[in-house]
Amino acid sequence: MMARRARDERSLSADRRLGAEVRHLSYSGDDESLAASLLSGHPGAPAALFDRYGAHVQRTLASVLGIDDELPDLLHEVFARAFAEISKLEDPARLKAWLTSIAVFTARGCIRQRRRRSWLKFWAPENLPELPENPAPLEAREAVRATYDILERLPERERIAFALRYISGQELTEVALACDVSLATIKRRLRRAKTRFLAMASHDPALVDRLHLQSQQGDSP
Amino acid sequence: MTPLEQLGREISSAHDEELEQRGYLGEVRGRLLAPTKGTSRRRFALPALAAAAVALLIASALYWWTSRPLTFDIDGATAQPGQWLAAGDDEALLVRFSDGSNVELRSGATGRVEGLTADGARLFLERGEAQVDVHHRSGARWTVDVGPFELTVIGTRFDVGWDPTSETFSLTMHEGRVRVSGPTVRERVVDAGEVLTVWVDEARVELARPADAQQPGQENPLPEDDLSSPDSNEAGERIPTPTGSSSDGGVAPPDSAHEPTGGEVTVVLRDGAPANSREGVPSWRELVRQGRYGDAMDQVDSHGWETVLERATTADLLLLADSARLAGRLTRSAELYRRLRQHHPGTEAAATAAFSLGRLDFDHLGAPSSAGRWFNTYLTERPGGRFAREAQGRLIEARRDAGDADGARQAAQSYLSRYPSGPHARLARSVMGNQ
Repeated sequence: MMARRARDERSLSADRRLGAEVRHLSYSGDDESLAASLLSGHPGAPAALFDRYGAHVQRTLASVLGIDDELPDLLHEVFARAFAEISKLEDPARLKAWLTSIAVFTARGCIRQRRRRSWLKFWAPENLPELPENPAPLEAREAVRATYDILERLPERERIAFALRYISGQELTEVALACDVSLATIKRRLRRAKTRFLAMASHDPALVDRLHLQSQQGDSP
Repeated sequence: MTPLEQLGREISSAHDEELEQRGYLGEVRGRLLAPTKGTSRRRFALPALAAAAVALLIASALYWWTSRPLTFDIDGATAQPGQWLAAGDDEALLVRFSDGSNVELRSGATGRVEGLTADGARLFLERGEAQVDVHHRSGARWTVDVGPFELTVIGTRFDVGWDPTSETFSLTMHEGRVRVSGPTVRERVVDAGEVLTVWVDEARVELARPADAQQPGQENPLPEDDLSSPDSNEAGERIPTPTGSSSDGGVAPPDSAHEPTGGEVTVVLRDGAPANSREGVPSWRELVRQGRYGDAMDQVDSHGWETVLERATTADLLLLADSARLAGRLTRSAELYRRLRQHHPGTEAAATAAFSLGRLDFDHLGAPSSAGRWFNTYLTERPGGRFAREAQGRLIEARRDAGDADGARQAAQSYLSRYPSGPHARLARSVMGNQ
């Protein structure tokens, strides 16, 4: 393998001396070989990893945190961390689960940071990006807003488990792996999260009908 | 599929649609992978390295040039980040920053300046109300910790408050726009003239838009009677029925007859008195806070200057003098700075007034000789003061413009010995080179 890599390098050098533009072909192979390629420094492997799992990681982050302007930075952080820590991947076949756990770890850090420090930020007008229009219908937007209002009030672990299970649609085993707990623990955690969520949702007109709940408006303090 | 799973699926679809529109994947992919693009650049390596080194040097110089952190004083006395600030029960505490920004902690408010950078400051408002007036300049970046809310401010002036007991957040925009994100509001833009109140505990939001802040072309505000009917805002969104309103046109208090609305954003259009008015007549301080410096001066005119000045503290005097300068009343401004020096000699505010008089003479009155004397006065009184470097540099300019070549060289020598890499260092070397 080392000999082949050295040959490839010599070939690339020759191409460069001739002024040729070197294009890397898209990477193909299973997760195990992709992980091995990342470890060995294959030039196409980082792009292949991002192309394969970028959308999944983005969806995972969005499910836990909702969508905001910080999302691209967090997505960047997850992959930067994955590239840097690929040597810590114990089971190359579980590349996706490993990335999910990094995404969960990153999202958790973000939640903690936001809770610990909430800042008023001042930027000059020219530095401020405009908010893109949300294409979803108003009712759907209201439901999204109401859901994340409640998630923000859930304990961090329950929020993450709930989001991965119900919004990201991950299997129980995947959620347990991403949260680095046993299946039994994640089931208990999800049960608590669901109970809390439904109790709070019963006070929110945007969710009562959708979840077929008995409205509890006016009962809250 | 349970209703909860159905909801999750709908949210996931809404996310996918929005993420597709935002295009973050492509953006991040570009950022992550751009440095590893394999193109033939080896033959340019040395020149590129040399260029990079030069660029690095220039960037370092620029960075050093622009990375001087701001300074601030509390009611005229120099202060340091981390110091706990508490306004008295009956008086406000004024924090003045060297870039011209001000933060006033209203009576009973507590907080601190947590850190300073060249572009702004990091503030923490623990409780109470503060008026924030950030001097607008390119690249300004300020942060204020105020409960669980995050605001992106497009503009410079607003009042903000946080009551941790009732978990009530309030924001009154005087100028510009603010993007607010936090519990219940998620993300929302607040414009000048609008008042946002969030009762976190009740997950309730109210956005009041006083009539005097309406946008051109906007419909007349709804009469109070109409508030009970669902309506649409300008974006065509449903406006949920407000569950309470105050008769004085302000934001209804949290303990009024509101029912929780489960976090829905309630947009209420109604007639309202301008924010911060008391009995319809704002004080000169309020007018200054609103940036209406000319009106503030008129207000003092109508009350009588002597009446106002008799009760003025050093901070008031400095505020009045600065306001007069900003209102273009330069003679009045100079009088006030001089009065401050006369009545409060030896104070930090008096030294600051000397520096301000120098700037007034140099920048506005075209009197470099007099400006030089004031800068020198400041340096004599506060050789290590927060404006010392600026005063020393301006002393070179003032003396040079006044035709005092020897004095300018002397000031330049002194400047270079203390600030060899300071912003006036090039000028100082140039002046020294003309010997």
